[in-house]
Amino acid sequence: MTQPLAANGNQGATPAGPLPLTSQEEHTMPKTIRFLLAAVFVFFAGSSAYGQKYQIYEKKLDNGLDVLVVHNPSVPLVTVEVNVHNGAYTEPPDYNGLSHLYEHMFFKANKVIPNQERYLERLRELGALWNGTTGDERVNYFFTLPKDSLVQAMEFMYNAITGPLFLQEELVKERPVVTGEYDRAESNPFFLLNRAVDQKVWWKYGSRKNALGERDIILSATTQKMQTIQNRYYIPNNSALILAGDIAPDEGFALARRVFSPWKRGEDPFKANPVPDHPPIQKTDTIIVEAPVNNVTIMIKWQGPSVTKDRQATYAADVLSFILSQQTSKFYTDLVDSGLALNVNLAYQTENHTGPITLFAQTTTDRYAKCVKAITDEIAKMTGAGYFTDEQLANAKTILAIDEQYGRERPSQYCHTVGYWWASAGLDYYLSYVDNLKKVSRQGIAEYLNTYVIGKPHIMGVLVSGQDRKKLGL
Amino acid sequence: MHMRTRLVLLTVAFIVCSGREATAKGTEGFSVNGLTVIVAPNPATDIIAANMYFREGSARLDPRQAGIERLTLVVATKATKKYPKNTLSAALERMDTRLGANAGRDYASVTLQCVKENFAKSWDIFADVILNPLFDSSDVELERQQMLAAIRQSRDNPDQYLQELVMNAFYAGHPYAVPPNGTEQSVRSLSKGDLQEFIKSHATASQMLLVVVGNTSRAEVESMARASFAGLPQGSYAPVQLPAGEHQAPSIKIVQRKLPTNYIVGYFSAPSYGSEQSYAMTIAGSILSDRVFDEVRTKRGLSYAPNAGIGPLFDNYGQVYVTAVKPETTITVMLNEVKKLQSEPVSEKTLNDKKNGFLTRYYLNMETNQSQVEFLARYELCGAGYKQADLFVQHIKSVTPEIIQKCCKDYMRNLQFVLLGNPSSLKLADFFP
Repeated sequence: MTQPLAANGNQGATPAGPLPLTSQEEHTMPKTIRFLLAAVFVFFAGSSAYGQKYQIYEKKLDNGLDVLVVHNPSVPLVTVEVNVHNGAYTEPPDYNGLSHLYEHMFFKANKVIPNQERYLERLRELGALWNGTTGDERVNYFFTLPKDSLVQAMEFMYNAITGPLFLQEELVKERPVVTGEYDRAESNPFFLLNRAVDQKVWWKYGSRKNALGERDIILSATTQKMQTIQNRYYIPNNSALILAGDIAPDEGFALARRVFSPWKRGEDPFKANPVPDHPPIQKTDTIIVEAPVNNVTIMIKWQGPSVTKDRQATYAADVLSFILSQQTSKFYTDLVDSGLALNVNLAYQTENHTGPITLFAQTTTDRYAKCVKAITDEIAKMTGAGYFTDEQLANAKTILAIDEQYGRERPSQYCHTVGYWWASAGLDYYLSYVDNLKKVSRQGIAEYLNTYVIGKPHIMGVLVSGQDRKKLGL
Repeated sequence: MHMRTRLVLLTVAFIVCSGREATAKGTEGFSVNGLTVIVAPNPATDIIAANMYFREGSARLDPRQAGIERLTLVVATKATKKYPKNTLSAALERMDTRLGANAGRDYASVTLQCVKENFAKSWDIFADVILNPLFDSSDVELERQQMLAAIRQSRDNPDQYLQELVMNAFYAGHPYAVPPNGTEQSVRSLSKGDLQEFIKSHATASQMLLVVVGNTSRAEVESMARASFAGLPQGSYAPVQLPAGEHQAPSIKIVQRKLPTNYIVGYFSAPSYGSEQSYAMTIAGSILSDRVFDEVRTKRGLSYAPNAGIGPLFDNYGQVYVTAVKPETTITVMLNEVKKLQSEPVSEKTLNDKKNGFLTRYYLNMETNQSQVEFLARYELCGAGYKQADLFVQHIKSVTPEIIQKCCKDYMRNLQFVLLGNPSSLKLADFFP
């Protein structure tokens, strides 16, 4: 259930370069998220114990907009965030990368702001820090600012979400910026590895798992295509507004209703434009990616469960990932403590449309062959009775319960997390997550492994230097 | 309104946001047999963060022992005399307590984060890590290999490598030239005996600083600190005087690497962290960042990632940074913005907007106990004193356009550039206006 690093649209508040700030970057994601959602606050009778316990309240406006208020008054800030069911998964090849380009265009001229310069100036006047991200199944935009600027920020967000102009001049100017982001991604050898593996894992509908997109599509993007995305996906009944921080629920809902009610509902975009199912990986394969790197990196990917089709498997996947991530696990001791791997991680990424299961490991040239064999052996052993203890299974669930407290400490970050779960799995999944994790059994974990991992087709990518590749005979 | 800690600020009239008043249960500093302890109670969450700092990081080291702090402290967290490896790992996992170690140029630390109900048990492990680490040979070797791999890998990521290059260029001959993560040579040479000697000589009352923020009290922390650390040897720590360095001329170093774009950074000197001028400089750096973003990206579409700012070191630097296919055009635009800051005072509007933004950043930093620990500690460690943390907003408030302009004239010059990439054309004169 790791959250992927999304294409970061604007970095309006955080330096991209080597500037080690003491303050934390607001697009950093917490590691795990376990929160329950309160019952609807105003429009339904009765209040939920979840809301009182976790200070999260939810309501749906008449136009279909989900409004979530995350109440945490520890500091006098509020984060205003809009999440949209958009991203790579909505993109056929001729739109690949345009959800991301759209995210960039959000921060430019709209019906009340003449151009990006004025847009950014306005945010600075409000004392806001801002950013946006585009992932496989979610695009989000957020401003964090002093509480006293909240009303103006809500109005600003409303105008930006409902009235972007996609001026040709700004679109043309933004293309090299987005391709500049592309250049930076391609400068990172790990991106090259991930992309090579993904091209084989998602062999038929690759565009729908490629948030950064394709250069030629980005460079030929038109205003008309931006408008198509807007009309199709940027509707309230496909979106969620999250207010997090020093904001009381009734105040948040009243403001949301006042500002966002005029936003017109639209047709369900996924009826006319359904997301195709990814066919299974055709056959297990290995791909070598050469780059000037100093260690050897191994990435193995399987197609994992979809939240909508095999919910139980997603819970099992997360409990297993937790067990394996502990330093007392056989997985860790056999691979890392033994010195075969420098690090190792097996994680499932929760998605509505086939979440990937990824094993990531790094090793040195001289230990590569033994490391790969050891990884294969570990996977084969995972369904064995002694692979993890009852205590480790119990600990994983305890850890999940405590982790939620760490995650809640930062409302400005936590709202991104809540938005991710809203988008990828739905609020009901989020509501019952901890309770369902507690029900995961050894049998459930074994079923998950046997259904998705052990003996199943997968793609292994190896990132290695040209020199080491020759040494290893790859 | 819910109060958090004494760090929460008084309302400042000119800043359009609500502040918080200091409470009677505020931050307190005291001594436990010579060990300085700072405690900031925060009943708002059930989380407690406690860091033990070792004053002066790699800047104090013999270059031949570069990396010894990191290796010592990371291995120390693996096992102790009371908590052998598996016992320690299992205990931390059961409680979801987070124990870590960091080593930088100015200081190193052992960090603890836990929930209140597990504070006592977690503290016991934390104290034992500092006082009685085991340094099992297998743990030492394992961590050594990890560090060596990390040193090699740091050159794979262009941003990370760029930072190494510019730090080496800017701080050549300075104590900061000693890398906290070590070199392959220095890390290979460190022995188990070196680590044991290091912790013995550095885990002293005079050299360490304990900072705790969270759902606890001074009385509780003082009692625990006395029980654990009252027996620490005093030690004979004396601060290292960092040389006041200044570059007399701009420079550029080009490191060839085949990349889709060029990575460029230029460092300039900045006032010391916590000094009076550092506030103006921090604001100036942020205004410069806004301007280069506007000029390079918004108006001209020349780069995805132009920025500027001020570093976090005690003997500090500022920077301009960009990734660009055509560096010469981009750098000219950025240096032009530096010139404008030097020649024209910023407007009152710009300054007030920026101050508002800084307040937002300040509060973001106050969201977690761990970041509050770090904020207090840095003021104490740099010599300004932890009480300055309470005065952050006042210092920001007092900055004027004239002070900013003077700072920019005094410091934003003689930039030391590094370019990592393969530019097809380059006019070196563009880097030296």
